[in-house]
Amino acid sequence: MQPLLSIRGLVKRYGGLLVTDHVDLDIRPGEIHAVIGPNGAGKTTLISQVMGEIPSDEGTISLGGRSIDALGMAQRVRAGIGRSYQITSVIQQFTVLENVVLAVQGGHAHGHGFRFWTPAVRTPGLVDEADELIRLMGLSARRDTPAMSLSYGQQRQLEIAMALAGKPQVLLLDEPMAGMGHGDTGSDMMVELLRRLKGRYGILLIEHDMDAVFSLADRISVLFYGKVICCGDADAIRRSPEVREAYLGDEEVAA
Amino acid sequence: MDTSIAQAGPGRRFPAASWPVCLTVALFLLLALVPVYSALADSPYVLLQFSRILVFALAAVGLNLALGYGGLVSFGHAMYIGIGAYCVAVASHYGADSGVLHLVLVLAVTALVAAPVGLVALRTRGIAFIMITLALAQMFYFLAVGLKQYGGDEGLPIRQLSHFGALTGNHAALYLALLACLGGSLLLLRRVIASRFGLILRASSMDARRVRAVGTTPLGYQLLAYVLSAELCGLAGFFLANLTAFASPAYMAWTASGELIIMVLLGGAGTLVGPVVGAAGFLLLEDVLKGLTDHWMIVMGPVIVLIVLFLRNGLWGMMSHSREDH
Repeated sequence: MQPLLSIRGLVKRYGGLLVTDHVDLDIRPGEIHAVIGPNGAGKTTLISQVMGEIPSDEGTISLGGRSIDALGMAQRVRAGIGRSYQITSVIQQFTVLENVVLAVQGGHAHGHGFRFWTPAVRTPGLVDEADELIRLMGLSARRDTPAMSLSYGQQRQLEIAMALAGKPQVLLLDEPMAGMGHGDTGSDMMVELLRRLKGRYGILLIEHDMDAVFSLADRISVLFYGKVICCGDADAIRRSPEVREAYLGDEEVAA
Repeated sequence: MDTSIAQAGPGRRFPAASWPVCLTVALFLLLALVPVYSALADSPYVLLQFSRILVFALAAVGLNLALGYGGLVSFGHAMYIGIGAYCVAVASHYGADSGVLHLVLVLAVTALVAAPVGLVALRTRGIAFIMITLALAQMFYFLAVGLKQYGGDEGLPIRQLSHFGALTGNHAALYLALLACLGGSLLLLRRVIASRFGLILRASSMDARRVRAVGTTPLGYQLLAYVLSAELCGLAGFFLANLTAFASPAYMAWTASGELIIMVLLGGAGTLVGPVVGAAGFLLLEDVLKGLTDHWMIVMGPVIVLIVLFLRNGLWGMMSHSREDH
């Protein structure tokens, strides 16, 4: 199967420090490919390179077989990559609806944004799509609430809604469960949500919650000091001695 | 459009939205009465002073689009007031006194200057943006000072004001035209701010990376906002030239740019009507204090600092939020 997103020989150096060390990684259509690794392994840098937020020193990234190396961040989003941030970066002063409309209008289907007359939150094409996403995320009751008044978990959901709004083929999710805690309102709900998204997008998932990773991911890559030291399904990762040594250490791996 | 208002229920949304609107309408009615008062009290100075207020209100409303909504702290917007004034003065100097021609010239020249200046300045952020707009404005200031054939640092008197038939040189007509322009700009901005363009502009001022992450490049939106904001300042310059029958380099001094920023902050940056209140407050306070003491700046400075520090969203924020919040 041809991969949706293909990363080959990707390198990022900060001075003498090799933060991304010749990374090869594929995301196939409909799969969740998790990237795990200790803090400072270069996971967020990798996502930022794929998005074009951080320029790469070497290597090539292609989406659906076409190189996107020359594209800027906004162009890559329009080409079909969406991301969520580890540190919630919704627009705090905007309402839920305004945030999602902002994200929806950025999609390639909606042309340029030089429209000066119709209020953005009453533009039918934009609002319908936004409301659909808000409903999907279970935020309908908070539609007209400023993002700053949302709970942390709701902000994380809004973050995902905005990543989906551009109708991406590939989703890059940077610790969607970070800081959510366990239980119905926390990470369990997000796991359930990701399970529903699975199959519809190619997802690159960065996550520290091992229960979530092992239950969701089709494949797992382990990043250690910028290098992919192992790639395979959950069992292969659990069995790998390098992974045990490098990353998991003494930590108990969930069965 | 209508359905969303109906769904929200008139009881909930109507008062919150209408209080600032009522306040604005009342403000404009009062301003419209100024020529009447001036005629009855036989005090042309009042009309002159309020015309000045409207000129700077218009410029401040313009700056607010870039500064308040776009987050672009331009320290050079007085340059566009000066450019507007010089367009009138220079055209008139060569005997072209058609008012329509003057207006077209002002708007065209302002756009021709603002587009490249904005493009250069927008390559930077934060303090660098402030400094580069200041530097470019100073360039134009010294250009005006250096143009000896147009009066140099003494400025250029305007013998023939912009010709608009029988209304030419009529102060009350000028005042009402100014008021209409100001009102029109506010109505227009109200739409633009809420539009898709306005949404992107406001989002870019808060988190430009987030805007790029949804697939939109902020630069074009910020540049257009900068040019539109310059146009309103150019228009203010057009009126100022006709009000004073004079174009002076002092119109575009860096202190004038600073005063514009203060007016916006005083009234409330990022509020629609705030800059109007800010301009009026600033100029009236200056007027009163000048009458009391030669050292009026010693009082004016701290007053402004205190207002900006302690009133969230400035004077207008205080006036328009007094009812529904808390």
